[in-house]
Amino acid sequence: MTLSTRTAGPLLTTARPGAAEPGPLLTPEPAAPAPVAPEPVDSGAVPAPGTASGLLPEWSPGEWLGYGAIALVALALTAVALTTLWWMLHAWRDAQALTATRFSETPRRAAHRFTLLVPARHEEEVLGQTLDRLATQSHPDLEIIAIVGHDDPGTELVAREAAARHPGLIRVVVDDSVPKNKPKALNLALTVSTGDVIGVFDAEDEVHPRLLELVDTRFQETGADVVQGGVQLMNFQSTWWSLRNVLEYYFWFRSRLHFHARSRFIPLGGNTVFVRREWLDWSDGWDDACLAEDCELGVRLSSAGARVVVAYSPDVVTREETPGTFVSLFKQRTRWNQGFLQVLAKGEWRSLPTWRQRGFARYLLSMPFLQAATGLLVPVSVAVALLVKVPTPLALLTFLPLVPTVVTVAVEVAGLTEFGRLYGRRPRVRDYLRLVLGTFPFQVFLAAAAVRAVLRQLRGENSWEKTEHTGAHRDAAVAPTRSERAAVAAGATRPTTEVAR
Amino acid sequence: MTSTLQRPPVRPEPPEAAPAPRPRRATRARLRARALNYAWLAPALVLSAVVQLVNLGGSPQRIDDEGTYTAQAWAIGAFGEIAHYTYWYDHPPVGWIQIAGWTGLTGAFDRYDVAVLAGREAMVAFTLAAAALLWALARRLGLGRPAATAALLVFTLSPLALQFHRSVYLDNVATPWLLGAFLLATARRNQLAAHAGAAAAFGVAVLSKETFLLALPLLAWLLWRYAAPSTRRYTLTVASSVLVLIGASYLVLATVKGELLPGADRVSLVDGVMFQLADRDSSGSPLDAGSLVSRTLGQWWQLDPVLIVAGLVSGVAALAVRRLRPFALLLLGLTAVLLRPGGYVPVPYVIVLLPLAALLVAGVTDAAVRRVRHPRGTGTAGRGLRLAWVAGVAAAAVVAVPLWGGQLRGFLRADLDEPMRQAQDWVETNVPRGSTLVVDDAMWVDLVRAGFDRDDVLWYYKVDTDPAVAALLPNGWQDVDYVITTDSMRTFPTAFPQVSETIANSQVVASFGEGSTQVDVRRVDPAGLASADATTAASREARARAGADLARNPGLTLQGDTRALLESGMVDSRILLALASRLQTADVTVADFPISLGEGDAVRRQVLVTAEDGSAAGATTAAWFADLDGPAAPDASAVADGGVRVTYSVAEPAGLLPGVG
Repeated sequence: MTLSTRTAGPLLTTARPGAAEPGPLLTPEPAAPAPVAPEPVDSGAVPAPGTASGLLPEWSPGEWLGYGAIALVALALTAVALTTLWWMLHAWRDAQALTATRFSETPRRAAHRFTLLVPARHEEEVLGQTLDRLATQSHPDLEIIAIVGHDDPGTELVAREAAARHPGLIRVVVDDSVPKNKPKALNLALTVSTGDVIGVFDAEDEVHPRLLELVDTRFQETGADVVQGGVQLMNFQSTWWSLRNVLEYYFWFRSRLHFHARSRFIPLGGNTVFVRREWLDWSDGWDDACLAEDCELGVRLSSAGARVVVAYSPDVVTREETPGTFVSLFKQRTRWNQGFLQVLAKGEWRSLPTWRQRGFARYLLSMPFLQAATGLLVPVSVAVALLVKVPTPLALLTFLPLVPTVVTVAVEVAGLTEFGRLYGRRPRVRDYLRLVLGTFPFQVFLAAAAVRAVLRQLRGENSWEKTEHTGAHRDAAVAPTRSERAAVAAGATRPTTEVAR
Repeated sequence: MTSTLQRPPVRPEPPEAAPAPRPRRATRARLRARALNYAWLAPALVLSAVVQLVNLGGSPQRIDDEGTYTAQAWAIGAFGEIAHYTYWYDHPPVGWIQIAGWTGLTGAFDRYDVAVLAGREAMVAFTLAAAALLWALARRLGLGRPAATAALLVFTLSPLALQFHRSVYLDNVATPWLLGAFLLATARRNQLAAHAGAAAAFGVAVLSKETFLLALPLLAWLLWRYAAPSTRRYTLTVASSVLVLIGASYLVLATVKGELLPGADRVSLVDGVMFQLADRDSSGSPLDAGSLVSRTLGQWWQLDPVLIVAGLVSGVAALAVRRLRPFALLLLGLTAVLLRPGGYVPVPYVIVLLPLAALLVAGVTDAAVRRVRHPRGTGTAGRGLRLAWVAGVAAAAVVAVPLWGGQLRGFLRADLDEPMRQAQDWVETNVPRGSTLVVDDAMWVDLVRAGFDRDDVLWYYKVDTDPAVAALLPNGWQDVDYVITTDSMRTFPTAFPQVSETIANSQVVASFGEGSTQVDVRRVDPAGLASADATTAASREARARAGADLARNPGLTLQGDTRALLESGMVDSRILLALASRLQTADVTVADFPISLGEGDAVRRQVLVTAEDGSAAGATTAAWFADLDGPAAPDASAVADGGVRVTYSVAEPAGLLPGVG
C-alpha cells in the first residue's frame, strides 16, 4: 500500500480537492448496501400539537351542523333538567335554609283580622265538614265566607246549615254569574269581606286548626304582603300517577316555591294563600279571564314588588287528595298549563325591574313545556348516542342530560321516604317501584298535557272544563279534588316538581 | 251580585312593599381575617412554586411513566386520540386529559424541547392547587394559620414530596381533587351544593387515578358526619348519585366505544380492570430485601426518613384528636394496604399519603402546643405527653433541616436528566429517519416531534404487550435498528422477552451518564451479535492496516496518541481517505481524533487538524474538507479547538477500505 507516499499513484488517484471520483482504493468492491441509509427526514408526518388540525376535527359542513345540533339539544336538555333539579332541592340546600322554610315555633299574639273565602261547587259531600273544621281555628279574629252557585242548591244547603251552626263566624254568598268560575266567586266575596288579610281555601281542604295563628305570626315576623302556606296531597298509595302527583306537591310546596319567593317572582297556589287586603284592592282581586287566576295574581303582585313569603311545616299543611281519575288529572294539568300560557301572554311580568327577573319569569312560565319536552327528549338523546354512529365525545355528551335526570329520581326516592316518615305512612316496596318505573310514563303524560294546552290555547278554547262527571267519580273516602278546582298555580312538571296549585 | 267588580279606571300605585330586613355583618373583622389568610398563604405558595420550578427538568431524571402520561396527553392534541397507542383501559383517561388541558391552554408543548417538561409544568400547577387546598382544609379542621402553613410547606418541600410532585404522575392530578372533595365535604354552609361538589371532585380524582378510590370510606364518613341531620337525606342522596354517575361515565365511554366486555382482538374495560386487580405481579413482601416493594420503600426512605417517621407517628397520635381522627384512620389504612403481603404497590402510591402526613404532623403538633399553652383540666400525664410531643417535633426539625437541605440542594442543582437529553440529541443527530427504534416512553414524543414516524418509534412496553405493535416487527428483533435503554428498561429484564432479545443482539454505540441515570444507544445487527462482532474485528484490522500506512506518510505529523489510534484501527475509514487525499497537496498536523460525545472508546469519527504546511489550520482547511464529496464528505467541518475539526456521521460505509464492513 502506498498511502505513505505523496505520489500515491494508483492508490490515490484521487484528484485534488473536490475530486468526485474515488480511486480504486476507494471503490475496491461495489459498496454493499449500508446498514442504514440516510433518508430525508420525513417531516410533516405528525401534525404539530396545537395546530388547528389537532384541535378541530375535520368534519363536513353537514356533519358540523348535525353534530352541533345534537350537542346543543343535549346541553339545553341538561340545563333544563339541572335547573329543575336545583329548584326542587332548594329548601334542603343547607340546614338554616330548611329551618327558614318553616312556620315559627313560637306564635305571637294575633294582629290581623282574617277573612277566609271558600268557593264551592257541587261539593255538598265535603263542604260541611270543611267549614266545621275551619270554624275551629284557634285564631281569635276571623270570618268565613262560603261562596256557592245559584244553580247549586245542594251545596248551598250544606253551606247554610254550617252557617247556622256557627253564627257570626260563617256567612254564605251566592254567585249568580254565568258562566261561573273560581275567580268570579272570589271577587264577589271580596266585596263583602271585612278582614285585613284574605285567605282562600277549597271546599275539600283539611286545614290545621292552628294554621291562622301561625300565618298571622308569619305576617308579623316578616312584614310579608302575601303568605303562601303548604298544601299537600296525601294519597300516594292509590295509583302510580297519584304517587307522582303527591311527590310533585311535596317538592313544590316544601322546596321549590321558597325558591320562587326568594327570586321575588312567584306563581301563587290556589288555596292556603293569604293576601293583605290593600294588595287585593290594588289588583282588583283575581283575573276572572285567566285559567290560572292564582298564578296570575302571584305574577302580578310580585311584578309590582309585593313581598311574598312561603312557609311549610309538615304538621300544619293543608291536606288534599289527588284528582279522582287519571282523566281529571289530565284535564287539571292541561288547565294549569294553559293558564301559564295565558299569564305568559298577558305580559304582566314585563314590568319586573331587572332583565334577570324578566328572563327568569319567562323561563319559569315556559317551564311546564320545557320540562315536558325534556322528559321526552332525554331518552331520545340516549338512543341517538347508542344507535347512531357519532364521534365518541359527542356520544358521551348526549348522555349528559341523563345525569340530572337520574339524580332527580334518586332525590324523589329520598323524598318519598321522608314523606312517609313525616306523615306516618311507610312507603311499600311497590311504591318505590312505581316511582321509578313511572318516571317516563309520567313524562309522557306531562308532555301530552302540555301539547293539549298549547292546542287549546291556539284554538281559543278557554272554558274551565268543569267536568260534570267529577262528582260522579268521587268516592266519599277520597275527598275529591275536582278537576275544577281552581286553578293552580304553577305548573311545573317534569321529572319532579310540580305543580302547585 | 254580579260577577265582576267595578274597577277604577286608573290603576293605583301599588302599596309599599315591606322592606326586607338586612343582617349586619362584621365586615371589618372578615376583611382582616382574609388579609391574614393571604399573608400566610401567599408567601408559602410562592416559596413552594420556586422550589418546584427551579431545575424542574434536571432532577429527577425523566422516567418511563412520565413519558407515557405526557405522550397520552400529547396524543389528544396531536392525533385527537386519548392515547398514543391503543387505549386499553389501564387507567381512566381523565388524568391525562387534564394534563392535555393545561398544555393546550398554555401552549406548554411549544415551550419545551423536552415534552415531558410540559407535563411537569402541569404537575407544578396541580401541586400548588393541592397545597392551597391543603391549607384551607387544615384551617377547616381547626389548625391555626402557622400550623396550616407548616402543613403546606411540609407537603411541598419534603424531598420525598418534591421528587414525586415533580414527576408526571396521575396521582398528582388526582390529589387536588381529593383535597377539594374533603374541603367541600366539611363545609358548613350550602351543604347540598358542597356535598354534591365533593362527590363530583372525588369522582374526578378517582377517574384521574383509580387508586384514590381507597379514600372513599373517609369521604363517606365526612359526608355523613358533617351533614346537618335535617338535610342529610338529600345531601347523601345527591352526593352518592353524583358519584355513581361519574363512575358510570367510564362505563359509558367503554360502551360507546364498544369496548365494555372482553372480545376477540380488542381491548375492553373488563380486561383493563382485571389486569389492574388480578394480573399485576405482586410487589413482594416488604420484609424481602430484594422485592420491588422493598426497593420502593427504600427509595422513599432515602429521600425523607423524617417525614415517614413523623407522619406515621402522627397518624397514631392523631387518633386522639377528634377532628383529625378520620384522616389518621385513612393514613393508617392506606399504609396497611401498602404493606399488605402479596399485593401490587405502584411506585407513586406515596403521593396520596403526603398531604395526609403533612396535615397530621402539623395538626397533632398544633393541638399539643395549644393544650400546653392553655391547659384544660388537670392530667399531668397528658401534659407530659404533649410536652414530649412538642420536644419530639423540635428534634425532628433539627434532624430534618440538614437532611432536607442536602436533598433540596440536589433537586435545585443536579442535572440528572442530562444523559437523557444527550442520548436524544445523539439519536436525533445521528440516526436516519426511517430507522426503527425501541425506546423508553420518556423520549417518545420528542423523537416523534424530531421527525421519526410514530410507527417507527416503539415504546418498549408495547413491543411485548400490544399485538398491533408486534405486527410492525414481523421478524422480531431483527426488524429493529436501534434500542435506547434506560433504567426502567433495565429493571425488569425478564418481563419483556422481545425487548431483552433485542438488547442482547445489540451493541452500544453511544452511552451517556452512569449508574441509574445511564442511557445507552444500542445498534442492532440483524445478522446477530456474533456476526456483528466478527465484522467489527475484521473492520478494525482493515482500518489498522490502512492507518499504519497513512502514519508512515512523511507529510503527516501525529501528535499525542493519534498514531496509536491510527495503527490500532480506531479511526474511521472516511477520515483515512480524507487525510490521504489532503496529504497529496499539503503537510498535515493531526492533534487528535476526538471522541464524539457519548461514544466512549468507539471508532473515532472526528479529526482535529491543527496545522497545514507549518502554519495553523484555518478557514481554508475547513473549507477544503467541507468541499469533499462522495463517501469522504463530512457531516461538518469547522474551525474549533485551535484547529479544524472535521466530523463524520456515525454510519461508516462498508467497503470504503477493503475489509471494512
